[in-house]
Amino acid sequence: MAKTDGSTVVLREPLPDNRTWRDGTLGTVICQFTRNKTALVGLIIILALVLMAIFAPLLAPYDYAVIDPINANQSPSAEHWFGTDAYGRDILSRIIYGARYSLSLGVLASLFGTCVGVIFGAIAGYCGGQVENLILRICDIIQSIPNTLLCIVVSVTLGNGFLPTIIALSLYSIPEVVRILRANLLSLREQEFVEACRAINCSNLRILVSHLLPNSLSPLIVSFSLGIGMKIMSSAGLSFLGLGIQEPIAEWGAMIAGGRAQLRYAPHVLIFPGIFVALTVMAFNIVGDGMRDALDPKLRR
Amino acid sequence: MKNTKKLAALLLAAVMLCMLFTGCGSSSTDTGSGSDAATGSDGTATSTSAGGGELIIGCSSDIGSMYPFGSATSGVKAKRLFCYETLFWMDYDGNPQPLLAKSYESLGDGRYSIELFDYIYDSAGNHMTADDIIFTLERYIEDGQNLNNYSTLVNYEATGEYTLELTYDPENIGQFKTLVTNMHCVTEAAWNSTDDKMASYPIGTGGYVLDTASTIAGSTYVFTRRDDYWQTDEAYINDRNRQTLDKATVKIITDTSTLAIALQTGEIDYTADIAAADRGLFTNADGTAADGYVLINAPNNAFCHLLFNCGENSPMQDINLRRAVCYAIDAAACNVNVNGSFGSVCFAATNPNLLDADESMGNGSYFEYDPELAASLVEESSYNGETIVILVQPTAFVKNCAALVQQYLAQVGITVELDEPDMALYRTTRKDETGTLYDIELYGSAGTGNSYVYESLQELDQESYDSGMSQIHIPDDELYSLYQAASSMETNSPETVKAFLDYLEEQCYVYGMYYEPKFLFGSDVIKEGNAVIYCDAVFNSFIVER
Amino acid sequence: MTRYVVKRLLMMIPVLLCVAIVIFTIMYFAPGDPVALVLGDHYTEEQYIQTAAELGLDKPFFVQLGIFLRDTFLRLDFGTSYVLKTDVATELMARLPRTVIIATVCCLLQIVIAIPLGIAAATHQNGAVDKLCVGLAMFGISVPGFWIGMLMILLFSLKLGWLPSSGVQHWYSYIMPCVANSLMGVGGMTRMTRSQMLEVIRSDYVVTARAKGVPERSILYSHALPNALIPIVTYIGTHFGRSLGGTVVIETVFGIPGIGYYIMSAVNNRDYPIVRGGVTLLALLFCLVVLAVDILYAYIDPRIKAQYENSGRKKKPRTPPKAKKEAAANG
Repeated sequence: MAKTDGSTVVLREPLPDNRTWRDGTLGTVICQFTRNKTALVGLIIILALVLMAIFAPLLAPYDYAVIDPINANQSPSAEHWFGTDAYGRDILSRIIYGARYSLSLGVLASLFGTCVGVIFGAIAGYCGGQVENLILRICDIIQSIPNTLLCIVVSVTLGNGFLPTIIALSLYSIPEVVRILRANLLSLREQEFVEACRAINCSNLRILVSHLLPNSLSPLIVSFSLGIGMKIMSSAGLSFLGLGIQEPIAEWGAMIAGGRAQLRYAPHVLIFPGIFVALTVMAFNIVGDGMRDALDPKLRR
Repeated sequence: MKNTKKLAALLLAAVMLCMLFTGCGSSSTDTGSGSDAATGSDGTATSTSAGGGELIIGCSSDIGSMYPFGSATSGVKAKRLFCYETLFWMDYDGNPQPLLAKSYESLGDGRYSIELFDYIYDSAGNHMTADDIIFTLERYIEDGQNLNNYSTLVNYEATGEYTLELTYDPENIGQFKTLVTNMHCVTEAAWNSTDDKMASYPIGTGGYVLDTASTIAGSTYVFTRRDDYWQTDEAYINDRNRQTLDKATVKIITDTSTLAIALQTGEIDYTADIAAADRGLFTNADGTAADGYVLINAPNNAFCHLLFNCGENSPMQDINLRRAVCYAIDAAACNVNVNGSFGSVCFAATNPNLLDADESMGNGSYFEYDPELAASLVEESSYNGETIVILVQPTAFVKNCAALVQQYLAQVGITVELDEPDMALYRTTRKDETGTLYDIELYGSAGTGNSYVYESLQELDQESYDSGMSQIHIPDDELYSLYQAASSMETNSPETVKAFLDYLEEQCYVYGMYYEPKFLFGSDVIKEGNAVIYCDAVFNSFIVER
Repeated sequence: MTRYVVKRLLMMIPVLLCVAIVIFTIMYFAPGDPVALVLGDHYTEEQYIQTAAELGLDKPFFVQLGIFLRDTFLRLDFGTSYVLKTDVATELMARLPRTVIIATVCCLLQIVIAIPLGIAAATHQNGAVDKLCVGLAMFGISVPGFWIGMLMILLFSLKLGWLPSSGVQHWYSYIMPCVANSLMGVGGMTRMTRSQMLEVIRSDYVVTARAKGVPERSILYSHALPNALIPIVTYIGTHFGRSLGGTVVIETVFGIPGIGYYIMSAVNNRDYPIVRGGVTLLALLFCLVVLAVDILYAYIDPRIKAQYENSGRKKKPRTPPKAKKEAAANG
């Protein structure tokens, strides 16, 4: 988590408590982030995974879907670094292609959830009163339905596939984002610069869009980047249950589920995709932590 | 004052939590009794002494409820076999033998008279008469499953206190036998004494009763021997109703690979649900049982096949394309991949284990793998790159080969999308009469009652569809007349069955890929001599008793 | 205080009603027909109509919804399963304890393992202990529990033969599922405790206490920890509530017939009564847990109690905004 190394703490001028993201320029944030070695490692891992996903056709030694029944369930070897699965498909190639789905699922689902959450959170913060109350009650309702079950039910209703899975995964993060944003807006509303804007006769909408929202960015960015890891994990769980992305598309969760049947004699079939899920989720979490450390001035003290 | 309020707050919180844990109270008893049961069964696992004893059976599907009807999964079969009885049991040669009924007589023209034993009592002490059988039959029909067994049953009545008569018109082969060996009978009094159709507690005539105290819903069901079993006449005690166990525990382990682990670690003694891929763990290279295990070959009626949607909305209406698909798939390789060394490749659109089928009905080469011929047939056909949707039946047996089929078709230039819905959506999709949702159905057609060729291809019975089109989405009167000839009691013969299969091959409506024998696996606890394996010829039941 | 609780309990009713309506609507529009499933592969048109009528599925949407709400909330009757014919409430109650056990153990592990780890990490900030704890926590929240679960089956059941691979027959059957399920909770909790402790340790009153010469131990346990507890309790509470429905995957791996697994199979069978009843029940439990947590606050923090007691006038956010933010950010 807070990996602020000792020297930074001494060297930096303490920032006043009420200063926010806008005070530190983008440069400061990047500078702060890059000083965090762990976060950098996380970022490098993510970049590597993204490159792997983009250049999958060049990197993958085999086609991810070509079946070779004769070479089924082979242990890792020189030809197949990670071995082959029950259909004789090369696991390394499937993992490389699978990065495309797992990464884009995680990022898009988190992005979608954050965007929708921001819209409703902003409406709640802007309108206040009954509208705010209504939105918060809706959040209560969504949150009192168990997360995983909601995912399953929505996924079944919308059908399998990429888009329905994104919606199913992101649904649950919407209330969280709404609450984060609303809490932030509440505390910002009381501050002097908002008073100042009111004084010069800015409209409420203008205050919201050009002052309040930009100032609430940092918790949103943190929740977005930590959300990616969560979404990748949930999507793996969902595919494990047989929902979400379907065969023969390589998706890490589905690969783990597929390897379950061969657990005893070919454990590599599920071990490798699992390692990649863990690695990716960890990288996103580390980067998320790094973002928080860099963005949250309080932690810099 | 302040403290009391604090205390009150704490108390309230505690009460809220207690409300949550109300269920927990019962859970502790659950675990308690569960472990008792387990220690007991652990004991059996080590002692193989003959006579009495206990057996732990692993099932991959939850029993769920004690309702006597409904579809038959392995868990349901176990429950029925312990608690309920049918009129007759099917012996190993496919002949009904006395169980609840003493005898039956064919009166000709599809009429049968059945005579019951006059001393049948269920576990609640209700006396069973012919009226109860009629009552059961009505419930059975109401349940809606197994339509074929009663679709042409025109009359059923009790002709005396212990006799009844059934009339079929027209009669299809196998209907009577399957009905009397599949309908699990209850007494009207017992049925009416429960308000949930016996879902929570079974009251049947079987030799065992559910031990509710040791049963953990969804996980372990314990059946204990009934001391007051009604059948006391030694002459009528047989493999089906011999009470050789003191206690049978059915353990539900839904994942088949975990089930295999459980058999390996000795958590279960016996299971019928080992997945094809796991068989190697319990067998030697030559197919015999590995050391420490018992392997029982039980014929199986399922065969993996493709049903083509020949309707006008599908590219599959082109016979060349259908034939191309058949030639493009290497059924032998699929079979090896799915079944290892155990399965066989179809010689026609049927499984030779079916009662009226045999290998001689094949014509030598049945769509032998020929990718070049397939590719040229695709050329000849009107296919130009549309995506072919294959609807996959959601059973493990079929699912395993879906990706292989997709791959083989891709090799000859046919783009395939797999549609693998859950059971409910699958049923709805295949019932769609417009024929636009899918092009090919990958189907396994297992299940009870499919003991004759026509029954395993009921999808081709166009009269039973309101649209007049069968599952291949076109009406074909010639096909239907051949189907009828193969199904009718009077005309069913090797010739008519062969004619039916030949026509299917010629028109290429159905492509049979492979079938697998079913194996029941037991640990060494079950040894020949101290175990009776019951698996009847219509594939609907199994039981192991010691 | 009592007034507050009563008010909160009353507030629960509309929320539960809405949950019920939402889940009813989603399931109603889910593709797939329960009647076709009940009847099997072959059935006649008459049978279809008859069965649909028997299950009450032939009525229009709002009539079905009305009947469902009336039965569930006025008669407390969850109905009968379409496929199994069993009473839904009985079956749900039989399966709930197993899920509660797993969720509770996860809760306990959080208290017993995660809080001490978090405190140790915070007090040794940037030291080796901190690095280790943070690393372990990161491992916990990043590794899929179901995957670890399967690896544990491989090791402990198959290779070593110590633990049963599935089922709930023995108390030790629960060991592996509980551990696999707790990974994420314990990891998240450790991070949470650490960051809360760090924040509190930096606060003015701790600095003052230090300046006064209060012993370090006493600062930690009587000044810092109680103040850090509020978000921690929130986290445990929400996590427990979520675990109740969120153990589906773990239940699937270990073959535990818990409530989540039961509902999931019902979803696949379109067995509406089980899905609706189960989700409504879990939502009720979740609301009760949240309420219990809020009441606990009053015990921990007199300020919040004061807020509850004059809550009639002013609406307050259910938890301090910061706590919420942190809880969300920590996953």
